[in-house]
Amino acid sequence: MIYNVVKRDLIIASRSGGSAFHGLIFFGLFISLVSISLGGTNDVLNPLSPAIIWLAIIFSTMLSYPNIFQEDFKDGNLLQLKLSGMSSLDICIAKSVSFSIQSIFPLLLSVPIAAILLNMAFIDIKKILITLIIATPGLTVYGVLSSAIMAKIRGGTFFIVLITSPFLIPLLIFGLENMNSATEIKIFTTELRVLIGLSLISTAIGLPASAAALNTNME
Amino acid sequence: MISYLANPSRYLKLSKIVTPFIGWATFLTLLTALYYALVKSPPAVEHGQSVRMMYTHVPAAWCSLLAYTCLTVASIFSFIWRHPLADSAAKSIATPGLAFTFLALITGSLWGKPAWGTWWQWDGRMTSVLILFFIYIGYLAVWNVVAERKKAARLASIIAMVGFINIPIIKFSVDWWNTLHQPASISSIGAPGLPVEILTPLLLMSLSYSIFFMWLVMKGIEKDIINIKKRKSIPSALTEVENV
Repeated sequence: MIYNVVKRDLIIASRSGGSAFHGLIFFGLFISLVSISLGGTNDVLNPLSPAIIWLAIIFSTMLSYPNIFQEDFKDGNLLQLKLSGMSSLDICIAKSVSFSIQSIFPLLLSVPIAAILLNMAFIDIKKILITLIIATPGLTVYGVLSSAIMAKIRGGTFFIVLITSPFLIPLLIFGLENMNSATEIKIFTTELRVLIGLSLISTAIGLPASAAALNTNME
Repeated sequence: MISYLANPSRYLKLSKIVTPFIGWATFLTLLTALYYALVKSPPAVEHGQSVRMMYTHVPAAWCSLLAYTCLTVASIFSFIWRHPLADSAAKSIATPGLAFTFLALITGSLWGKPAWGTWWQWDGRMTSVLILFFIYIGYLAVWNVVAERKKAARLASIIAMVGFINIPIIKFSVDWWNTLHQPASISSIGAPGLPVEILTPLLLMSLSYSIFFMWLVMKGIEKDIINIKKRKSIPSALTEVENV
């Protein structure tokens, strides 16, 4: 059941005619705007590049959060899934998986390109990819939660961003701290372990909470 | 006793009697505390007269956390037992909570200028209070945006509970990130921290803040119940239109 929903979401995304790329385009735009505003010299950009990439990732995922539930809620698909015996928790798990595949995975793929544009060293690219992959569950689940809460609200994007941002701060902090402390030899730093913990906690809290929110909205 | 009071009209009756007393208690304790804070306590050695800012700053920060804890308790009640009174309570706790957080930020900034020479510093504690402020705003936004009251209460309570689990995590991570703030001055009673003449007004002030908070909440619940009753007395066809 979960597999079918994920598959359906991915097919819809592939046929949507480009709306799946909105986050990706925003990612590119954000990075170029920041680089231009910071003057574009390598001495300024290089130390800031992990922060720029992290912010770009966070903002572009936030841009895609409203898509998680709003469409399916409006056309009644969610209610149909529910009627066919799928539990809200399963729906949320399916939506998290499909969101991370269709929105976050393309961003991760484009991180190396952005890193080259910002002149990052190879080891730094490796580090930032590891932290981003580990933070993906956290980034996804809080989006699913806030989007489940705001599923019924038209134009709820601003509120989704408002609700999600405080919860993403720990991920941002530890993701960036890891950049400073990790080295070639020592990959599993304390920060990285905390980041893994944060992702696990967010999954444990976020999924049941979003299932409850979805239930409330479908009552 | 809680289940006895949980009936809104019974609560309303009790609140009509008790709330004015709490209001007067606020007034009296605040007056005493202000006397101690402004007249009796000496200026501090390091901070000079600006130490008096502490008597508004520290209680506000405490109350902002107290309010969030109360908010979570009310949210748990409202989520599990779906109690209308708990909804009113959560709603009327959040607004003073937001106000206290804002007050803590403002007074902290005003105190920071003479003490540290800067209005704002991105240090651990200040940042986490600022984030708490945003969490309060997010919580209240849910109440404002969702039209149906029962749904709004339920969704908001989910936010409050998730936020309650997240606040310590945020605090921990922000502390990890950067810390400059002076450590909590009153960690254990009897520890050589603050002298008595400063401690007395501080504790009095926090007592009066807490009572004031209680008064605001009780008044808020009262008003909320009356509002619901008013809405119920409008013919049902009208309310349905309103809900759509």
